[in-house]
Amino acid sequence: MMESARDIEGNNTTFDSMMSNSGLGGDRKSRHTKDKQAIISSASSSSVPTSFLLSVIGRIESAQIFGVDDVYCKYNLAFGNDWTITSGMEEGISQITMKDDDGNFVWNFPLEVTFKSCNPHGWPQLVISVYGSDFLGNHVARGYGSVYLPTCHGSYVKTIPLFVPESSSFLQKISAWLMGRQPEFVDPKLLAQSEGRQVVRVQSNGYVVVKFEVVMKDIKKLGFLTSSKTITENYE
Amino acid sequence: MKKGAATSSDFFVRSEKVASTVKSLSRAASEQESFNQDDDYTSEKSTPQSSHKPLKKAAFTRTAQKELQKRLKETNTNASEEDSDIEHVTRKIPSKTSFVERSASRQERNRPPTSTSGRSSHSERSQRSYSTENDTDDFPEADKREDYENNNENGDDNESETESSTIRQGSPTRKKTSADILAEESSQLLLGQGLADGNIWNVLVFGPPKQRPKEDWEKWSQLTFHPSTKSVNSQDKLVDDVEARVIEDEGLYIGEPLQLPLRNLNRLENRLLKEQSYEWFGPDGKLIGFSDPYRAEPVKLVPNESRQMEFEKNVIFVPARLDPFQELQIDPRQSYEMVLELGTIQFTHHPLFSKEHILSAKLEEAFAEYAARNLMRLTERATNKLKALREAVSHTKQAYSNVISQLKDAADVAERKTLKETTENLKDRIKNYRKEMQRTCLDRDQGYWDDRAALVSVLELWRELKTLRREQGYLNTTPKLSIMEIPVDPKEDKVAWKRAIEEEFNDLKEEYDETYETEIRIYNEEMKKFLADRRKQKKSRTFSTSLEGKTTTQESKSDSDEEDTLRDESSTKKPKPPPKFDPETTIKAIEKRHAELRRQPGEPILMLELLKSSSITATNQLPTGSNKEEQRRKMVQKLKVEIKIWFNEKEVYTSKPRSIQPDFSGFLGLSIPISIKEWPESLEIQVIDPTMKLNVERIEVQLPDSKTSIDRCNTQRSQFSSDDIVRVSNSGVGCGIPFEILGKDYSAQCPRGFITSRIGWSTDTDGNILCPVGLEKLLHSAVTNESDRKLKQFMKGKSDFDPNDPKNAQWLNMKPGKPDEKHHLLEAGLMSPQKATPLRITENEFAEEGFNFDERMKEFDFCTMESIQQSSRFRLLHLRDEEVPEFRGLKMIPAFERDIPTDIFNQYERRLKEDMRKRSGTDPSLLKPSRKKMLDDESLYESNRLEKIREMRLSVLHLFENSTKQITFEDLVVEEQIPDIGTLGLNLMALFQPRRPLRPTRKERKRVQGSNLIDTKISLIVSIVRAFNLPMRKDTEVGLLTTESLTGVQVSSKRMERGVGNYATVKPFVEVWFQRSVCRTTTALGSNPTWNQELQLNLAVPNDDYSQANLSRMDDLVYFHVYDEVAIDLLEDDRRRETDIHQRLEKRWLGTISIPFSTLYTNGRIEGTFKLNSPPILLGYEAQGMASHFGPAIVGKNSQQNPSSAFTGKGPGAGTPFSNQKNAFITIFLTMQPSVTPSSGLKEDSQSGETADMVAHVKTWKNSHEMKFPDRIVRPFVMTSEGDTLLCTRFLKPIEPPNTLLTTDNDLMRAMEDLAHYVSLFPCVRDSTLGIVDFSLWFTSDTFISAPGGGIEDHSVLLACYFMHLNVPCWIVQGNAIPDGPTTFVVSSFKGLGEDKPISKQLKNAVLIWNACTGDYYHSNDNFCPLQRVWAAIGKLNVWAYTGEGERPHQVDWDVGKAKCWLPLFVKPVPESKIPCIQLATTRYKPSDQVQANSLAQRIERNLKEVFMKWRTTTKTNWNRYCSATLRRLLPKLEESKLGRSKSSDLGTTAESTVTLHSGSGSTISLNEEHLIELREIMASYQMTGFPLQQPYTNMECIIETVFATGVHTIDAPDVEFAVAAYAHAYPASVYSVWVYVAALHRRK
Repeated sequence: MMESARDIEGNNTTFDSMMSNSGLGGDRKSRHTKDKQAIISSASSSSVPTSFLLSVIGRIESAQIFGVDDVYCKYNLAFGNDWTITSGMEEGISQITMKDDDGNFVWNFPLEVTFKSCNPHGWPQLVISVYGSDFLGNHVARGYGSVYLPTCHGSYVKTIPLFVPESSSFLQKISAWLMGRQPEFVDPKLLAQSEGRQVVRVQSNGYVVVKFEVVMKDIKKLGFLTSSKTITENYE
Repeated sequence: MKKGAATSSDFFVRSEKVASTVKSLSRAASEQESFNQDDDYTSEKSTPQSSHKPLKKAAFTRTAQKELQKRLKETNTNASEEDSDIEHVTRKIPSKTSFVERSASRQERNRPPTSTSGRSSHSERSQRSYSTENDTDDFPEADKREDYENNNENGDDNESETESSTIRQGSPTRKKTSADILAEESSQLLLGQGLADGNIWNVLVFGPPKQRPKEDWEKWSQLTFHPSTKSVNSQDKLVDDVEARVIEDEGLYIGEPLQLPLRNLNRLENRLLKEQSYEWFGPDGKLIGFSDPYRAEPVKLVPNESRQMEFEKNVIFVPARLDPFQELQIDPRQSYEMVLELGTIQFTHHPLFSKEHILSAKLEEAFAEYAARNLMRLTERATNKLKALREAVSHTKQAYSNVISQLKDAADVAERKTLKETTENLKDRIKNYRKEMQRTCLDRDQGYWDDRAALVSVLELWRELKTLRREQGYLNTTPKLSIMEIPVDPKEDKVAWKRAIEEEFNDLKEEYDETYETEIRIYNEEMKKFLADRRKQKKSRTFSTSLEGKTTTQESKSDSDEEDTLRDESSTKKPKPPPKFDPETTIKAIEKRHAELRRQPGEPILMLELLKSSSITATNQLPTGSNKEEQRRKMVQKLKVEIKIWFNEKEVYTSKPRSIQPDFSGFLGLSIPISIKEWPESLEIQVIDPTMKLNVERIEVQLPDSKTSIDRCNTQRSQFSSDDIVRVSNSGVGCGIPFEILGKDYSAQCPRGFITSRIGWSTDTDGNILCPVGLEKLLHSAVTNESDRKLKQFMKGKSDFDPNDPKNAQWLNMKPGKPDEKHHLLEAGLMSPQKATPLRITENEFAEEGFNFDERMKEFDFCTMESIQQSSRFRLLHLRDEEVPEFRGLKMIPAFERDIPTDIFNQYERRLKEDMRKRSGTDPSLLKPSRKKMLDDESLYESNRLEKIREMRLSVLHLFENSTKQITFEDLVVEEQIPDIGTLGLNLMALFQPRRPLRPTRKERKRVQGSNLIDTKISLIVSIVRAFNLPMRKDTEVGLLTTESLTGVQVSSKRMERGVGNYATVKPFVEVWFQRSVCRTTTALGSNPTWNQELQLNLAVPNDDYSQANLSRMDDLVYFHVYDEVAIDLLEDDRRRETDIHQRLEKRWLGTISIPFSTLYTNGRIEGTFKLNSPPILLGYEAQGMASHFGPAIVGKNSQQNPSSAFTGKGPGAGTPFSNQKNAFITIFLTMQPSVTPSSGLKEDSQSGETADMVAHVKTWKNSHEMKFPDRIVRPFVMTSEGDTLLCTRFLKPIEPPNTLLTTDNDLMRAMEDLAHYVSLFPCVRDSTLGIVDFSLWFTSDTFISAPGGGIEDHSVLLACYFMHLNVPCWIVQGNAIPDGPTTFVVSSFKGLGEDKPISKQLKNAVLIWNACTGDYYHSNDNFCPLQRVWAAIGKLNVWAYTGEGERPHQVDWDVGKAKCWLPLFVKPVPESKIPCIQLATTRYKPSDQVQANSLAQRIERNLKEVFMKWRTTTKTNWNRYCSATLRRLLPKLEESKLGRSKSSDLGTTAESTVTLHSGSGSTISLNEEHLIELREIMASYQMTGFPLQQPYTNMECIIETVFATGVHTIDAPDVEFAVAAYAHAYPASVYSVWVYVAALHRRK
C-alpha cells in the first residue's frame, strides 16, 4: 500500500516541460514555455501503464498513377496533441521510380514508426504526397492521399486513392501548364484535417498501395477497445 | 539507341537493323491484334466452333514471342555483349509483344483499343482510316470473314495475308501504301531471319483505307438510335390504353418533381420508349422518381430551435452498445447454451384445408369457447353473488331498523350522535350493496346471453358440418359433437323461475322505496327554487324592457333579449317528480328479460362434448366425382414442414422436413440446442412448407430469463401466420381467397397455425444453468429493439402507406418509447384509418409522452458534465479543446487522473477568480471608496491592463469565430500567380534600364506562408545602415556650471564656447535585442556614424509552433538600442601608458527604437529612417543641432528666426513639432528569413449595421477606387464592439476632454499638444497580435476610455474627437507608416479657422500630422514624418479616398474639397440623421487620483530596484539614496514640461526657486541644464550618467522591460552607484504617465 502511494507521488514529480530551453534562455523565453507547458508522464515503473504504444511497420509499396513516367513520394505522419513519436521518422522521401510494364510504380519504401499516446483522439494518419516530373522536367505534385493508421493489430494492405488540387480558374490552369507549376497543397498535413477542404477542388489520380503491420501494446489496459471481434483474441 | 550509335559506329548498322526488326515485329503484332479483333467478332457472331480459336491464337503469339526473343538475343549477343543499348532494345521487345499478348487476351472487347503504340511509322490519317475500318468493316463482310476464318484456321499466315489482300481488292482506293511496303519488307526480313515460319508467326498486313458503301451506312444507321429531344405524348408512355391518372387529384401526395432540363428529360424518355421499358413510367405517364430533394433557397445551418426539433424528430435513435459479452466481461471460453424444444405443429388454416376442415376448425374454435365458458361458470357465480348481496342487504336493513329504534330510545346527546353516524353508515352501505347488485345483475344477464350464444354457435356450426359431410359424401375431419340432454323437472324449474323473478322484483321495489324518499326531497327543493326563479325573471324582464325603452339601442336590446332567453332556458327546466313505482310493468319487463336470456323452465340442459371419433373416409372409399378431393388428399400426403430457427436475425438451424397428418397436425419432437457466442437478442422460429412454398412469418420466441432451465419451463403455444395468397386447383380452399361453403360466404383466410415449443437454458452436468450473467440487465434493451424492428417491419409491410404524405409524418417520426404501448397505438391507429379518433388519441399521447429528447441525448453524452468537472483529466481535455490560454497546445495529457498534478489548475483558477472579482468588484468599489480595498483592486487591475483590453477585443472577435476560421483557396493550395501585363512590362523594362551594380536594390523575395515552416528556423535579419544627429559626449565641468547658474549669464553664449572645448565625439554602436537575445554592431565614430552592418537573430517561437496563429500572436518587441561606448581608463600608473592599455568599456544609452514583431510579421519588412527615442535629458550628453539640409528649410527658419513664437517659445527642448534638429535618427532595414506572410485574416463582409443601400454604395465607391489604385487600402467600414460593420464616419463627433486638461487661456496649439499627450497615455494594443490583419476593429471612445486603452485606431478616434471639440478641422488618415504598416493618423489643419483664433501665422497654413499613440506631431512637410503614404481621409460625415499622384504627406494637397485629388464617398453632403454618430453624447471620466499614482510610483520604484539587483548577478548593487531623492524631485517637473508648459510659471511658489527662476526668466535654458543645476551637488562628487524615461502605464512588465533595455545595469565598475526614481502622474480615466529616472554614478577621484 505504501509502495503504491509512493509510486503515484513519483509520477507527479516527473512532470516536465516538453520544451527544452534551447540556448536562448532568459526570463522571456521561459514565459513562453510556461504558457505552453506540456505534460508528459515518464514511463512509470508501476504495473499499470500510463500510455499505450502503437508500432507500425510497413512499406509504401507501389502506386498506380496514370499518364506519368516517374514519381517519388513523400510521407508525413499527422497526429494529435496527445501523441508522440518515440522512434522512427515522422517524414520521409522515397527514391524516384519509373513505372514497370503494368504501369506500377514500385518504391517498397519502408516505414517504421512507434507512437506513444494516452488518448485515441488525434490518431495518427499517414499522409502521402506523390511528386513527379512533368514533360519539362519540373517536379509537380502528382497526388495526395491520406489514411489512418489501423487501429487494430494485424497486417493490412491499404489502397490509398490519390488526388491533386485543381487550379482555381481556367486561366490559372493554362498558366500553370505553361509555367510548369501545378498547384500544390501548402502543407500535405492539411489532408489529415477536414477543416477548410471545401475551398479546394481536386482531381482524382491513381492509387498508392501501402502495407502496414500493426503491433500495439497496453491499449486494452488503458481501457480502450479497438476491435469488436477481440473476444477470444484478448484472452489468449 | 542513338547513344549506342554514337559510341560505336560499326554497331550502328546492326542496331538499326535490330531496331527495324523490332519495329516491323511490333507492327506485325499490332496487326495481329487487329486480326484478333476481327476474330472476336466472328467468333462471337458466327459459329460456336470457332470460339475456342482466340485462345489458340494467344498461345501462338506467346510461343512466337519466346522464339523471337531467343533469336534476337542470339543476334545481339553475337554482336556485342557490352552494349547496353542493345540490351535495352531487347528488353523493349517483350513489352511490345506482351502488348500483343494482352490484346489477344482482351478477347471480349468488341472495339479495338485506340492506342496505336505499336504502329509508330504510320501517319495519323492512315491510322484513323484503319481504325474506322476495324470498327465497321465487319458488318457487311461478315460472311466473307467467315471464309477467311476457315482459311485462317489452317494456320497458314502467308495465305491469310494474301487472303486479306484479295478481300480488299474489291475496294476502289486500293493502292500500294507505304504500310504495305513496310509490311512486305518486314516479312522479307523475317524470312531472311528464318522467322517466317508460318506455323509460329501470324504476320499481318495493313489494309488500305476503305470507302464505305452507302448501304453500310444505312445498316449502320439502323443500328444506332438518336433519341429526339421532342416531348413524348404522355399516352404513349402507358402500356395499355389506360387513361393517365392524375395522382395528385386522387389525393395522394406527390412531391415537387425534380427539375431537369426538359431536353434531357425528353431524351431520356424517348430512349426508354425505344427500349420499350414502360416500367419506368408511373401510372400518371411520368417518370417515376423521387421528389425534388433540393431546397429552393440556400440554407444556412443555424441551430434554430424549431428546426432542430424537426431534425431531432427525424432521427431514429439507436442506442450505442458494446457487445454485451464484452461489457459483462464474461469468460468467452465458457459456452452458453440455450435449448429450444419444439413439440407439435398444428395448422388452423392451410391452403389445403377442405371446406370441411374450415368448418371443423371453426367448430373446434367455437367449442373451445363454449368449454371455456362452462369451465369458468361466470353466470353461476353471478347468481350466487346476487344471492349473497341480497342477504347482506336484508341484514343491514335489520341493523338499520335496530339502530333507528335505539335512536328513538336514546336520550343522551353523545349517544344520539354516534347512533346517527351509524345510521348514516348503514345507509351508505345499503346504497353500495344496491349498486353492486345492479351491476351483478347485469353481469348475470350478460352471462346468460353469452352462454346461450356460445351454445348456439357450436350447434349451428355442427349442423353446418353435418350437412356439408352429407353433401360431399365423405368425411375429412374427425370432430364429432355429442349432445347430451339432461332432463329437468319442469315443475321445479318453474318454481325456481318464478322465485327468481319475484326476488328480482322485490329487489327493485325495495330499491325504489329507499331512493324514493331522497328523490322526492330533492324534487321538492328544486321545485321551490324553480318557482322562485320564475318570479324573479318576470320582474327583471319588465325592468329591463323599461330601461331599454330609454336607451333605444337596438343591439343592446337584442343582446339582453338573448341573455334573457338563455336564462329562461336554463331555469325553466321544470323538475320532474320522481316516477311512481309501477309493479306490473316492472314485473313484465323482468319476465321478458328472463324469457329472452334464460333457459326456459322445462327446457332440458344441453351438455356438449366434442369428440374426435368420427373416422375419415378412406381415399378409396371416396364417392365418385370427388377427384378434386383425391388430389387434395394426395397433396396432403406429400405435405411436409421444415422448421428454421433464426437467432439474432441469423439462420442457425433448419430441420429435416417433417410430414404432416391429414388433420394438418404434426409431431416435431425436436430439441435444438443453441450455443451462444453472441448476445441473444431475438430468437425466431419459421415454419416452412416446402410443398406449398408458403411464406410464413417468423414467430418470436420469448427468450428465457436467466433462471429458466429447459427442464423447468412450460410449453407454450405460439401462433404463426402468413399473408400469402395461394390458389389451389383441388378441393382445398386456398389462402387469401374468399370462398363459400353451403352458400355462405367466407372471407379469405390466411394460413396460420400454432406450434408448441418451450425454451430454456440447458444445464451442465452439475446442474448449473448455462446462462450468461447479467442477462436481466440487458433484457430490457433487447425488448425495445424488438419493438423497433417490429415497427419497421410493419412499415415495410404496409404498401399503401405513403411515407411522403405529410399526414403520415407523425407515424414516421414515431420513436420507440414504451414499446408495447406504441405498437398497440400504431396498430389501433392504422388498422382503422377511417376512424378519426384513434389518431387523435395517439397524437395526444405522443404529446404527453413528450419525446423527451434530452433524455435521449443523454445517451450521446460521453459522460455527465459533473464528471467532467470532477475528473481533472476530462477537465484538462475540455479546457484544451476550448483553447484556454493556459492549456492551449498542451501535449500528452495523461491517461489517468492520478498522473495529473493537482496544482495544474491553480493558475487558471486564480485567473478566473481575479476576473470574477474584477467584473463584480469594480462597481462597488467605486460606490464605496474604501481606500485600502480600492488600492488593492487597482493594483490587480493595473497589472493586467493590457490583458483586459486584449480580452475585450478578443471577445468581439469571438463573434466572428466562423469568419476568422475561414480558409481560402490560397491558404491550402500553392499556385503560380498569373503574370499580368503590368509585371511583364516592368520585367521587360528592367531589361532596358541601365545597370547600376554599385547601387543594388532590394528584390522582393517570395513569401512563404507560416504553416510551411515546420522545420525551418526563422531568423530576423537586421541591417543597420546609419544613424545621424546623435548627441555629443559632454564632460560636464562642475565649475563651469556653478558659475553659470550663479551668475545667471546667458547660457546660450556660453554654450557656443563650450561647444568648442568640452565636447567629445561619441563612439556609438547599436545593439539589437529580440526575445532577450542580443546582437551588436561594431563601434563607429562620431555623431553621424555609418555601420552598414547586417545582423541576424533567431526567432524563438513559443512551443515551436510556426503556425500562422501562433506567429501573429507574438507580441515581442525588437529593440534597437544605440549606445555610446566609453572607455574608462583604469591605468593606475601613468608611466606605463605608453605600453599598457587598461581600460574598461562602458556603454551608455543614447536612445532606442522598438518595433513590434507583429508589425514586422504583418508587413514582411520594415525599412526606413526612424526617430530615435531618446530621453529628454541625457546627463553627460548634449544633443547637437542638425545640419540645415536635413530639416525642411522653412521650419529651420522658423525656429531660428522666431524663437519666441507661440508654439516654440514657451516649450523649448523636446516635444515641439519642429525640434527634429534635436532628435537623432537611425536608418535600418528589418526583415525575416525566410520571408513569412500572414494570411489575410478575415473578410469584413459579415453582418452589417448599415443599410443595404449604404453598403452597396460604399462598395461600389471602394471598388471603383481600388480599380485605379489597388495598392491603396481604403477601409470605409470598421467593426464595432457589437460586431457590426459600420461606416467609420460614425465615430467622429466632438467629445469633451476632461476639464483638467482644458486650459483657460486661448493657446489652441498647446491645448492640442496636451490632448495628444493625454491620448498617447492610453495603453495601446496592436490588433495584429490578435490575428486581426485585414480589417479594423474600432471601439467607441467611451469604451476606450473606460477600458482604458485600445488599438491605434481608437487613439486616433479619440484625438480627432477632441480636436473637433476644439473646433479644429481634422481627419483621420488611413495610410502606411513606418514602422506600423497600414495604420491611422490624425491630421489637423488650421485653414478653415477664423481669424479670431489665436494661432500663429506659421501655423495658418500648416497641416499637422499627429500620431495618436505617441503624442508626437509632425508638419506635413517634415521629411521624417512616419506617415509615408496617404490613402484616405475620414472626416465627419464623409470619407475621401486620395487619388493624387504622390502619396507622401508633403506631396498631398490637404484640401479634401479638391475633386482632383480626393474622391469623396458622398458627393452630396449627407444629412447627419442618415449616418448618426454612435459615440455617446457625454463621456464620463474617472477623476484623476494622484494618491494612487504615488503609490503606483512607489511600487514601480520598489520593483525596479528588486529586478535591478537581480539583473546584476555578479556584483553588489549600491544605491545612492540621496541622488534618488533628488531625481524623484526632478521628475514631476518633467511631466509638467511635457504637459502644460505654461503651468511651470504658476508653479513657482511650490517648486524649487532656482529652477523657477531660470525657467521663468530665460526661455532658452534647456531642461538638461536645469537638471544639471539641480544635480550639481552630486555632480561635484560623482561623475553621473543618467536619463529619465517616460511612457504610458500599461503594466509593470513594460516598465521593467524599458529599463532593462537601457542597459544601465550592465555597468559593473567596482565603485559604481545607482539611483532609480519613479514618478507617476495621474490623469483622468485612470491613465498614468510614468517617469523613471535611472542614473549611474561614479565617484570622482
